[in-house]
Amino acid sequence: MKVLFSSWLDVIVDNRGKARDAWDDAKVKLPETYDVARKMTAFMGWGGIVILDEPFDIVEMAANYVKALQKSSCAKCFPCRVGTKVMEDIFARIVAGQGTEGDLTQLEGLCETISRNSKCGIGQLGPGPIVDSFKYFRKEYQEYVLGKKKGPGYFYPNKTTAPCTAACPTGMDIPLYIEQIKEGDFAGSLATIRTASPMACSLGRACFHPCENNCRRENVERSLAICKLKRFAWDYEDLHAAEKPGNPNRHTRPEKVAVIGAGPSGLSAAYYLLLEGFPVTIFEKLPTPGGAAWTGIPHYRIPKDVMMREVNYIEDLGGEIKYSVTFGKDETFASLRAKGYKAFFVATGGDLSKAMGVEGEDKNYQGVYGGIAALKEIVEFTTKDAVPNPAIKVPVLAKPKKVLVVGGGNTAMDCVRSWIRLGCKDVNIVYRRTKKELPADPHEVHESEDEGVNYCFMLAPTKLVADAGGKVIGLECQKMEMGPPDESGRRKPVPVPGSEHLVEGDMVISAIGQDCDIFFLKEVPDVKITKWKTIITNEETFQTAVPDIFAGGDVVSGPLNLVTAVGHARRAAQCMGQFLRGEPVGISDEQRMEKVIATIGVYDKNEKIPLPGGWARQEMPICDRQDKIGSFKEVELGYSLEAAVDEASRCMRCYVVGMACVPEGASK
Amino acid sequence: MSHAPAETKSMVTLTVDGKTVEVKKGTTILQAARRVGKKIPTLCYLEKTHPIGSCRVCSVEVAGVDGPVMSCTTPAADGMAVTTDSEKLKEFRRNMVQFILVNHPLDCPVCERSGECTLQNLTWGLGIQKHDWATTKHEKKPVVDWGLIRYDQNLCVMCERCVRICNEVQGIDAYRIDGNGYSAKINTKDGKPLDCDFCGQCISVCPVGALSSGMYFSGRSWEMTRTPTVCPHCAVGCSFEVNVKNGKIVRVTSGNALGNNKGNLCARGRFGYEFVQQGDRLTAPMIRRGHGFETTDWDTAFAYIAEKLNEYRAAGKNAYAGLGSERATNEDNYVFQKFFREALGSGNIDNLANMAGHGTAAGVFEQFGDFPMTVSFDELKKGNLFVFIGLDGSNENPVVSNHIREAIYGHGAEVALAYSKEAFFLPSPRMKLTYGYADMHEFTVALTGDLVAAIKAGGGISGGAVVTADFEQRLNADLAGARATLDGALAAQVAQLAALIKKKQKPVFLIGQEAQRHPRAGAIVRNIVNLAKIAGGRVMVMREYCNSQGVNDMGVASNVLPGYRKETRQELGVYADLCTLINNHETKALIIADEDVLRRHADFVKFREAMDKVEFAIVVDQFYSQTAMAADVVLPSCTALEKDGTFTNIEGRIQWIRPAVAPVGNSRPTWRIFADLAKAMGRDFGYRSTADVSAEIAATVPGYGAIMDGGMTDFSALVHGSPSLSMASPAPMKKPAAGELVLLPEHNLFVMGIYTDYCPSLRHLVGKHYADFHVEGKPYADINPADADALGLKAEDTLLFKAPKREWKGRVRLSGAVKPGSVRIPDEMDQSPSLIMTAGGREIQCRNLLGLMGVEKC
Repeated sequence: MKVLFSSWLDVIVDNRGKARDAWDDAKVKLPETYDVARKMTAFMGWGGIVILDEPFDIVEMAANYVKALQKSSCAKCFPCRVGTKVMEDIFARIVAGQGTEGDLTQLEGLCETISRNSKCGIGQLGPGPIVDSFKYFRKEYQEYVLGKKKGPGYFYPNKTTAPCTAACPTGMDIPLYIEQIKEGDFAGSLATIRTASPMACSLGRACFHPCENNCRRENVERSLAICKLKRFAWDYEDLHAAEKPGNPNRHTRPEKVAVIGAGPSGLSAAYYLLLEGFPVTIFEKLPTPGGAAWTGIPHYRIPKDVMMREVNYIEDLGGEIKYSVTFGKDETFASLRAKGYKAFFVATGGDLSKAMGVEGEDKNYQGVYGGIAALKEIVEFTTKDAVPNPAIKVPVLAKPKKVLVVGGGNTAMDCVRSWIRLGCKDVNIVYRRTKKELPADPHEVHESEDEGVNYCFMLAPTKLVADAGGKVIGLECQKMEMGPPDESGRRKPVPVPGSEHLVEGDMVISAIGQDCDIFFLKEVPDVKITKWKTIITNEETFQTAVPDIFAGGDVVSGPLNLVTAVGHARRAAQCMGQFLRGEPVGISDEQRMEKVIATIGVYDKNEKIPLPGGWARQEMPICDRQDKIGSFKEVELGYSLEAAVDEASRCMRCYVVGMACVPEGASK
Repeated sequence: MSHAPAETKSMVTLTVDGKTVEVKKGTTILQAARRVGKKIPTLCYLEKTHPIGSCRVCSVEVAGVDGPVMSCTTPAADGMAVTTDSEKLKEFRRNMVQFILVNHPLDCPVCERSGECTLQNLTWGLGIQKHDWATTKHEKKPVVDWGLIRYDQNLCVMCERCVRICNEVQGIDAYRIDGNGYSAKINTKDGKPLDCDFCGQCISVCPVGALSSGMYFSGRSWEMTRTPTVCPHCAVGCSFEVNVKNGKIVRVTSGNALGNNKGNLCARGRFGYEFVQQGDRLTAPMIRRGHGFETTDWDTAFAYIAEKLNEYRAAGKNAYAGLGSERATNEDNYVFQKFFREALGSGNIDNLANMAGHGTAAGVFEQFGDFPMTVSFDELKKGNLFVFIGLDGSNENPVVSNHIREAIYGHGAEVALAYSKEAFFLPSPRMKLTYGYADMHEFTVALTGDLVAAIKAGGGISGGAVVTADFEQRLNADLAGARATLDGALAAQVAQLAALIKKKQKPVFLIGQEAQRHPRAGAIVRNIVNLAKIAGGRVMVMREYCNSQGVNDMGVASNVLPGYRKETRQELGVYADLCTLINNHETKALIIADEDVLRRHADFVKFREAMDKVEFAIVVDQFYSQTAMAADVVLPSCTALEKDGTFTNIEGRIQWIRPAVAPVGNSRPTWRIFADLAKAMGRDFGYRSTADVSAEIAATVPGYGAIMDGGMTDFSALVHGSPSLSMASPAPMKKPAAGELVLLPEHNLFVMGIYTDYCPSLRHLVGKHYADFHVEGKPYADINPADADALGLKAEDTLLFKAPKREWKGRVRLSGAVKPGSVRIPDEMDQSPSLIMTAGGREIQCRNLLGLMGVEKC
């Protein structure tokens, strides 16, 4: 984008003194405005300085930046704790017009000492933009030193984050919970996790962990096992006679809240609302909690008895779950409003299997399943002993000779790995692209191959084929080949004409995606929906056009993942609290900064980190092979205490501070 | 299963300043450098905890890495080339220390750390002579006084050592960093006044004078002599150094790695030294004249006693009786028993820890049979699972728990607690089981049954004893009854514990006071020994006093000679417990050595009657105690910090103590008193020094060959063959009637043992914690809220306790941890068999089950 100046990631673009249409492009992305009303003219952070436009005051901004560093210094190392304070004091002198040239020299020395010796990103990366400011804005400093200039008093919203935290849809303070594990404060660690998500058990087992893809330790040798450490913190509490935190605010507010759907998003929203004192009732269509995390993730990845304890905790805090209530039929917005519910959080997820769009799909052949429906049956069957539930009629599972699963996502992985565990010897994935494009977690793909799943790449289904009795016998498929590059330069697979052939199989599972079932919205036509049948909400507050109705999770984003759904819930609960208390509904400056920071991006995969490396990631112990493919026992056994502490010790605690310059001042 | 991937076991090779060193993978650069003698300066580094990494002083250069690398937090890697010193590194290190000096007060002349201050030493060592930086001056913050621990924020460098040692080593986790940036300080977790075990470990690791006890401000480090010796409080036998200035003990230190305790101490070890040099010490022999005592010299006293004792010889073999001491050295006890057996010709001796005889812990020792009853801490630390049975680990022998935490953080060991109330341990134990006190034996039977069942279900345990059909039959006879006694939830937990034992393997069972003093102690301990055998594990008996082990080893019991050889000489006396002996026979003289029996005996009223009945009571003591007051002659002995000799700790380790100060007044070592008395009676043992006694012990007591070099006892010579597994089936316990409460003792570290009676600073902590505990004589009585409701009691209600010979006031404390149907009062308060508790005009009978039942031998 076109900016006035950028030193971001050491690439200098300096358009000062040039006509605006002659500006060079900078490889940096930032929003043009801070919010609807206000402009953002500069950004300062771990990667340098970006000046978008006039007006700005680099010295005042640097002074504020150092102040923010000192404020977020955790005080756990000398150079950052004291050094940034020394810098803050010198900057205060300079901004007050009492600085000297010697002060600038001393600041340069301090920047070097602090950045070279500090324990974490605050001290290591914090002084970076200050050094840049000395280098490229010396004149401005001299004006201050000569007493020619005084600070204009702009507004500098800032946010302390980390590459992992910024990548997490819940904004979890990951470095803190990792550090608490390192320090043996497992209860503290779980408390930190719970400020961002009550689902440490499920997330620690089945999150797709974008944090780990944004972990700077990857630049040293290998990213940290952030996800599995979360599981460790939860398991530690679960396994030990530790007292769980209670809810001091239990039902202290009069306003009742209805949450529709007991999936990850609904449970999470309930958790935060309960902690704020609101009595919450969750209405769940199924006889089991957990939504997609229950029905869509097999027992060997999230044991359901374990997950039940995670859900029970939310009940312990004062939440009520009403099972087997179909919203829109058994209860409606109107009926619940009449019962005194003051706000709704709609988190009904997406549980309709998407159709493949092939011939014969409408004929109801025997042996054809949707991925989600198939998994639900598997879960009900395999958890009948672990979590007995009289409301569930245990399904009779078909035992096919050859299974064809269409799709390459995590649902497809769950399907194939489940049928391996059911004893099926010939289990196949049918996918229209190559292995490289598989959207599933690579770990899942690797495990499935290890367990004996066969992959048919570059193959697209065209027709379901059945025998005379209406029993499926296979799938007619077309071979694919890579076509010419499109306008984006990517080559797309195109069918090879005349390559249609029958791939045999007595069970076909379509696992190519899900749709949301939102029939109940007919009651409230003011709530807008997208063409993909998802709910439209305010992006920041998750409030719909009907003020007492909020929504989050898959029903807003379309079927995505656990952690995004949980992230929605955290924010939505905050805004619902505001709504219920009669406060203005909105987000804080820090939360606004999250978006700015997400745009510029925190993690830099090319960054060179001055550490020797060679510290191997702790391997996750797994169950015996016999249990792995012969049963639905949990595959991953969890870290032992010493393995968890060692793994946590690898964390580099990459906290960074990002700051914007908003000349129009703070919001009133 | 080992979770550590194979590669962590392999070695890596690196060079440090050109020297090649091979270390285990996972070793830090700092540790590797130390291995080749390279001393990298550090400030926050602590060997006992995971690296902290706050001071940034230990930076090194690693070839190929741009910039300093912190050696304490970075693991060594293969092929690394490390440089530990360069101009650039010196500069960085100086800068780090300068950051602290920016605002560190120049209080060195009045700081008690001066002379042993890490900051002083680093400033000196790095040659810092100038101040480059400054910040706005902090205003002086007041010193926070938390009782025996004080925090001076002005001096604090925020190294975090106190936070880490408290969490990782002590398991208390009392501290945190409060606030951010420059104004951050150390505070308690909840911001309230410190409420912890007051072990003072935080003080011991503070590199500057920020944490201090307030007890020591009377000496500078260079003015003191330090004598390494062994703590005389409990049976762990921690090593420490007594710091003395001008003949006065001013503090106790322990370094980082001293002794089997690795420098760890508890509150009693660190702060409990005041008893040695305070006003209640006896300084001269005293002879009763009328209603009072007259002080005299040793010769007069010995002549007087010798004449009296010789007079009683005619009264026959039961003319004499004696009580030895768990607080006296092996040498003291050895000479004491020798005096009795050889000078008086009597075997009527006993001690309050007599596990083989008639003490409170009746028959415990016999239960070990062929099982080695001691286990070293090194061995203990290898355990995978620690099962506390009747043990309140934070109050009884607390340093053992430090070793256990090492196993927890080192290899993921787990802890299971079984106690008569909800017990406490940090980090959170795997299991907490709360049994009814009366059902403790049944609890161990059920656990044995469940473990046998778990093993039979498949899998087995490596190294476990074979469960014979005979044993199983025997077990099954009691099992159903035992299980029926436990409530359903506890029964389920017992099964879980059995499964856990089978899963973790190598369990260590730690037997606490509650089990040892239980009316069914013998049967309970036998079951625990069975459990350990079946599971291939170990047992550690948690003893109360510094020489509870040695006093028995030395044969201070009528039925065993030193080294547990059987006493067969009938002519030396008939054995019964001392009270019965005195009451039923013509016992003329009673000699009590270093034991405040009237304070400690379970039935002190009966003992007092016995003391009154004999014609002549001689008490050797260090203090003017209740027992001394009841004597006819009182002889002053010196304390462990004034003499030499050996103690045998719970590991079976024989440790030498050294005199740190001269004996107070005319006090003497106990062994010398009895040797001198023997001489006065015409029997010269010929000892010139303590070492002469020790040498005789080495030569004559089986298992004590290592005494001269302070090694371990070797009891393999004493192991008697007995059936591998065996059980006793004592009758079920009688239970209190409806409306009655079971009376149970609460242990409190600060008042445990006799010495703490004479340590005002420790007692001050009790006053602080239990409000008016001693000050107004109103100790607490902990009651379950449900019981309190039923009895119409509220918190802080005043109670009146009536025992046969005294009464006192107490106050109600409500505690959900207390099992319904019981009331818990401090162990040191009267534990008479039956107490009447009066509250609001209503009388409630409180039963000490031990008293109710008597001791059943098995």
